[in-house]
Amino acid sequence: MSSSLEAFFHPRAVAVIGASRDSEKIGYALVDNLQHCGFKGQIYPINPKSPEILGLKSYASINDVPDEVDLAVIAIPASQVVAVLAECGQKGVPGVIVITAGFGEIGGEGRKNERLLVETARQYTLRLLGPNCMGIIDTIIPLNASFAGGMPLPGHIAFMSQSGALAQAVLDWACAEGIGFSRFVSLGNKADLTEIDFIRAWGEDPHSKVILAYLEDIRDGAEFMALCRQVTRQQGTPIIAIKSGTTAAGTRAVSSHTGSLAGSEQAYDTAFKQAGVIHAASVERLFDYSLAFAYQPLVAGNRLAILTNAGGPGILATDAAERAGLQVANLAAATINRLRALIPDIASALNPIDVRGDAFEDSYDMALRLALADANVDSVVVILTPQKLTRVEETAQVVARVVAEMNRAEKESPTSNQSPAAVSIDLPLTPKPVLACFMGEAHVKAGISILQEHGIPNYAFPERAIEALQAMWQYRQWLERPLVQPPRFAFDDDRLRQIFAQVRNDGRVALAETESHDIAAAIGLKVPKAELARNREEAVALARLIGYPVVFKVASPEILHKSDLGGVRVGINNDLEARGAFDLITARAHRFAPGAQVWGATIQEMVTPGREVIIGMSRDPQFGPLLMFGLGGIYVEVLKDVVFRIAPISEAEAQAMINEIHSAPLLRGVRGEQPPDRDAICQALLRVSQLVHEFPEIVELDINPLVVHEQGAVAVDVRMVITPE
Amino acid sequence: MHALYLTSTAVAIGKTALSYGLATRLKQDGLRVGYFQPLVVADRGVSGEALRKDASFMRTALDLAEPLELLAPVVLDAAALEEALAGKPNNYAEQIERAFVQVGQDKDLLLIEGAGTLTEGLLLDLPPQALAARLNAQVLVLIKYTDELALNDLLAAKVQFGASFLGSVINEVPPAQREFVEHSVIPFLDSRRLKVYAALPQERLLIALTVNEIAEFLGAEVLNSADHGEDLVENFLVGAMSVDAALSYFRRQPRKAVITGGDRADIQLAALETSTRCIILTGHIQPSPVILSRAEELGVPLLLARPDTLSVVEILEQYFGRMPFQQPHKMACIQQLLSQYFDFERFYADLHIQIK
Repeated sequence: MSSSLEAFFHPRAVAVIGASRDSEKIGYALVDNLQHCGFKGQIYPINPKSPEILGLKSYASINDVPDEVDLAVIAIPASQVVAVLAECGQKGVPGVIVITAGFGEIGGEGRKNERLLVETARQYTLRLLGPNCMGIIDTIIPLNASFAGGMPLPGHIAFMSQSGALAQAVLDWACAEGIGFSRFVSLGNKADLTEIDFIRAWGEDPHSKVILAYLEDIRDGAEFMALCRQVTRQQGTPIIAIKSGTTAAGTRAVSSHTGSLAGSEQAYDTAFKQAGVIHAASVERLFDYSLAFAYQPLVAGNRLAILTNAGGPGILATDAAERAGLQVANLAAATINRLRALIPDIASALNPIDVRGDAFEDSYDMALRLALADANVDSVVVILTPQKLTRVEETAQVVARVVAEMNRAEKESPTSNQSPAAVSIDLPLTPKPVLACFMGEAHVKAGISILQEHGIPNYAFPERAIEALQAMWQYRQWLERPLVQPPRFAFDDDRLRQIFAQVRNDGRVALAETESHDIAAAIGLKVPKAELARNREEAVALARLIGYPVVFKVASPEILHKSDLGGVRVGINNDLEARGAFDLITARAHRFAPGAQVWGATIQEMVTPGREVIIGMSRDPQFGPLLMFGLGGIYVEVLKDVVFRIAPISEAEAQAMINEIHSAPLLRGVRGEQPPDRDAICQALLRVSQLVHEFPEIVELDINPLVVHEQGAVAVDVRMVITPE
Repeated sequence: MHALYLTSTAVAIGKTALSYGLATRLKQDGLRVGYFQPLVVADRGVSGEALRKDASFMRTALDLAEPLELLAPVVLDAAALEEALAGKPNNYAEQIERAFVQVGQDKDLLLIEGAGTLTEGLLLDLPPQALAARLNAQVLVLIKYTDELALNDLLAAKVQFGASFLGSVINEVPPAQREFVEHSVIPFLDSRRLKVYAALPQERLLIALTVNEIAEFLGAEVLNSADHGEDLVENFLVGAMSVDAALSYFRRQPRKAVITGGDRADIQLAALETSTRCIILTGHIQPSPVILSRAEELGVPLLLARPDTLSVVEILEQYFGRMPFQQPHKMACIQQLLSQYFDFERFYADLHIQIK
């Protein structure tokens, strides 16, 4: 693991500053937890008032501790924390957890003090967790440097939470559910250590099979994405995250809580997808998914067998699978025949396999073995409803045994099957995931416990099991997707910089249409011929030069929706019409947008009609350039049929954007019409992606429309906003 | 003594700024410069010294000894207008002439801040051309450039003032029109024997309000970063949309004030993310302490205002773009603009003034 975090993962001596004898104080809980978690190292309570706490010798200050201290936990009033942190620095403590609240989260003085904390930590090159956090728990060391209610069960899930209180509740619930953790950290205000540090450390941790994160904000979106990509792909550790504050009201709540502008849900969702992070929509799903990842092998494909003792739940599971993009597997003929032969009273030997309500465990045993053995099946969901004759515990044991055999088979092939019923059924050499869905509560409780003991996740309802499989399938596809670097085009960078400088020099932020068009041309997009006419006669001269018919558009940096104000005239065919059009649109602009600067009219070449698409970009505060693509007109305005990616994107991602919109078939040509040039769209997306990636001063960009012909595409209207300085 | 009568084709297009810029430059060039405002049209609800705020400002700026009542002898308030409508004769012309003589003593040049429009004073039988003639002043006309049609007003002014007409200054030329004005408009006017001493570019700084002024108009409390009270606000936007939309919207307007509810933390943060000079929190809702700190770090004052958003907008609309100019930023700005764009050589030659 990352060496700068060594103190948090391999501490030999822990000091609790603010340790207390009063069992109602956090300082007591901290010492008590350390003493009872099995921690093998030294514990040093620090409290100038008590010589001894919970049977341990107490010291007046950290500097009085005779030996080295790796990790200090601070739980004293906020006003004293900075000074004590400096003492830790002098003592040479490499890792400090600040439990104390009352820092950045309260604003004002608290925020200043938090900055002081960070400065002090940097000064002594120590790493700081918190402030305003619950601490750290580790079942591997073991260590409980937190004031949580108890020690969680050991397991393979590493969990970080930006909310300490939520984590408390979750840990308590997980304990009751039998869910175990390898590591847990409460991130608090993230003054120094953030999600980035722990994802990096846990990605390399052999004890953590899956990383879970509850996050309210992400400070450095680009770094987060790069790291998650690396951890999920190179290290092969899945990351499942829930991001709170994604709705409008939720954003407001997060904003006033953390003081950082939460990015849009769109941006988070896109960033997670592009970084291979599985986005959980609720805390429940966060754990549903994590159990599958932590205890079951990853699915190889999306073909699923459903094994059930009742028709209804089997159909529910089938519907859910279909919706989730999973396939209800077509069982091999041999499997179907053997199911019928071995389970004579089977209700359905087709998938979903229905062993009937009165089936005993032996039917489940044979059906599960046959399903797993079938090469057409990638995963199995075992559904059980507690009917009168159902033998819940026995069935659970059978499922557990088959799964265990399959896992053993992997290690010690050739197989040595022990179950008498299955002598002739060879389990697959590569284990497949099995998820259980023992439905009900009172009657199935004992069975679920058996499943849990054997690492088979159980879900109360089929839909939840299917969603967990869907998450696994999503991760599998991510792992198999080739990672390609975005292409690099040669742009006329000098020209671009020159235009931006000119705009800023005028004190503007919005680019004039001609300037935006120059930029589009400088990055190699085709733009219509266009010139600015400042008066009527210029307009006529330019219209002749460009060649009739032409388009007239009002030229004003402040009027964005030109056609709404009657500021656009198309199909101007001669000098007379040109004069009229100039007067009309400038007069309308003055009337409908009084006070707006009107520079005249842009005279533009008429572009042959084609399929209209939109390429847009808005810079997200967390993740940077959020690219948007959609079909023009009603498709984007009414149907909101758009897709997003964070730039820079590769060619495959650009192609995926074009394919992902619902109206994608219209881009393939419908009813015999010639399809528009999809490659031209792809090229435009890639060029815009590089532009907004390399020029962070561009904060908004819209090409609306990009008119796509059978060959090539033209950026007809381009708008851009840059930062003022 | 030279008398220069400065008038404009519309109100609030920069007459006081030009007066200030010209007067200070002339003084700097060694001339004894005086200031005179023959007629003050009172704003409704204004009284006392504030009535003569332009004269008061110039008195300080030029370090003049004459009392305000002499620098601006006639104030037209509601009562004076009623009297004029009732047909009651007045002796304004005499009052003005008497004051003019006094103010002009020991001066090389008296700058007369004249009518805000070419028709002001007609009601009292004192139109600009009559006043200029009585005071034996040469007339400089200020116009705001919108498009070619604005030139009609200028041509009309030349006719109106006849022999007294000296020349003109064109103000607020948009950047994109600069070339056109220089290459087409000015040669055209020259051909009509109409002199243009300067074509001044549009300068948003000159129509801006300071954060402190905004706070004062709204009766708002400045919660933080009081040291940014003199920062200039060029425009204002209302933030009442979703945060994603707000960000795009706010990015399009630099150096702005954002008006939003105290409870809209997301909008406040979006404003702080973009070029914002102050945030006006309406409905008297205190902001989150975390946001207050963030604003303080960034040096963006939060203004706690009692009125609701709509009322705040109404109040600010009254003031934006019509605020007389009296801030150090703006003063330096107009001086710099004039030194860059005003043809003083020609101006002095036309007035027959010798600069030592």
